Amino acid sequence: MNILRLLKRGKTAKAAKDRLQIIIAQERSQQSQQTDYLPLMRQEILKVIAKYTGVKLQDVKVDLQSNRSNSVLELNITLPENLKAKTPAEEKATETEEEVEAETA
Amino acid sequence: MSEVIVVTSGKGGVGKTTTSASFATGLAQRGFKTAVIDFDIGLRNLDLVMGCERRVVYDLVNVIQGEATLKQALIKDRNNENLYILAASQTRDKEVLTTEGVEKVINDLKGLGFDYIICDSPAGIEKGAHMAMYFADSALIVTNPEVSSVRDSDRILGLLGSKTYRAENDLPSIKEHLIITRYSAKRVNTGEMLSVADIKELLGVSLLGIIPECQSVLSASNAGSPVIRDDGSLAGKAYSRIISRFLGEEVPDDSAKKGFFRRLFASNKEKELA
Ligand SMILES: Nc1ncnc2c1ncn2[C@@H]1O[C@H](COP(=O)(O)OP(=O)(O)OP(=O)(O)O)[C@@H](O)[C@H]1O
Ligand SMILES: [Mg+2]
Repeated sequence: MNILRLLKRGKTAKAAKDRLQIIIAQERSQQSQQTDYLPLMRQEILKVIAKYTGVKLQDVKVDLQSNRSNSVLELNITLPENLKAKTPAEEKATETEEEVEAETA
Repeated sequence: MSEVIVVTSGKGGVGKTTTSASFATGLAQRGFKTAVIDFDIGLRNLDLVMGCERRVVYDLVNVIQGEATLKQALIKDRNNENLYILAASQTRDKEVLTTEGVEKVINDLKGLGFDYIICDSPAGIEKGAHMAMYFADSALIVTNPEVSSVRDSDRILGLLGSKTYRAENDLPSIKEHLIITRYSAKRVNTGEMLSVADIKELLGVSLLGIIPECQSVLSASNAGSPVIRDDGSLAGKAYSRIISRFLGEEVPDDSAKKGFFRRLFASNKEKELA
């Protein structure tokens, strides 16, 4: 009677390890995916901002905060004092500091 | 130079507070001026394990909120003059912890000449756990040989590498040490429990030591005396070896198995004694 139970019992640690290997790999890749696109996106957003305002790379602070259900992306851009708006739409930007918040699922 | 060490795990009840108490006591026994801080706001336990619960007047939250000075809140250990405890608040909400407040407490402790500052993290990944790890130079990852504990430890490793002062400021990363607690060699041998090799492989962190499942841990908590002081107990000895390894000394492996005959001999001897 004991042999069957012994054999069965002997397998549980192996099963635990196999399951963990899969879930840990999955979670690690999710974690890195979440932030991997950040540098690239930052570059692209910057290109757009630079096109209209001439703000430099080091003047933009990008911060990503995540919890279980959602992530908040915070962009902090200090606009130059005597900014000359190049397009009518840009004339609205009178403050020297603007905060753009975007939510990603 | 002071070193800030967080004792963390993600999962609850794996032995963080037990490890914090013994690790801090062990460093103090070796002559290092050591402070141990309970970050488990609302559920303080470190004071009980350290046996100073009746001497808590002010706590970490009082200091952060300016209601007491750090010196007033630090409790000197009765048995070791190098050892101090900073208790958690039992009544407040953990949201009162602020990065600036915690930073000031840690900097002030460094200013007082502490060699080691041990931060006992609460379970979970919320504010308290985040604050406990934020200013760390090293981390003790406490893991049980069990699926959910290993998974949570991996999650914590991810946070140590991304949501800490060192990570956010591109400083050299936090030194990570794995401590496996509540280990039962017998259950590993029968294949019921994950082995040390499995856990090391899964987490990819270097192992500082293994603490066996040991009755003395409960008696030590009951008495309010960290188990490392019980130098006849298996857990106490294992914590002492962890201190030695942490300080860079050569010590035998925890997992070194006794030979069959020695085991036979030992068990016969135990029977004789019984
Ligand atoms: N090596 C061990 N052998 C036997 N019992 C142990 C061992 N380590 C810890 N325990 C017991 O496990 C329980 C939880 O331990 P402890 O309070 O240290 O965990 P924790 O991780 O700090 O918990 P929490 O997440 O609630 O803060 C306690 O009852 C303790 O006595
Ligand atoms: Mg605890």
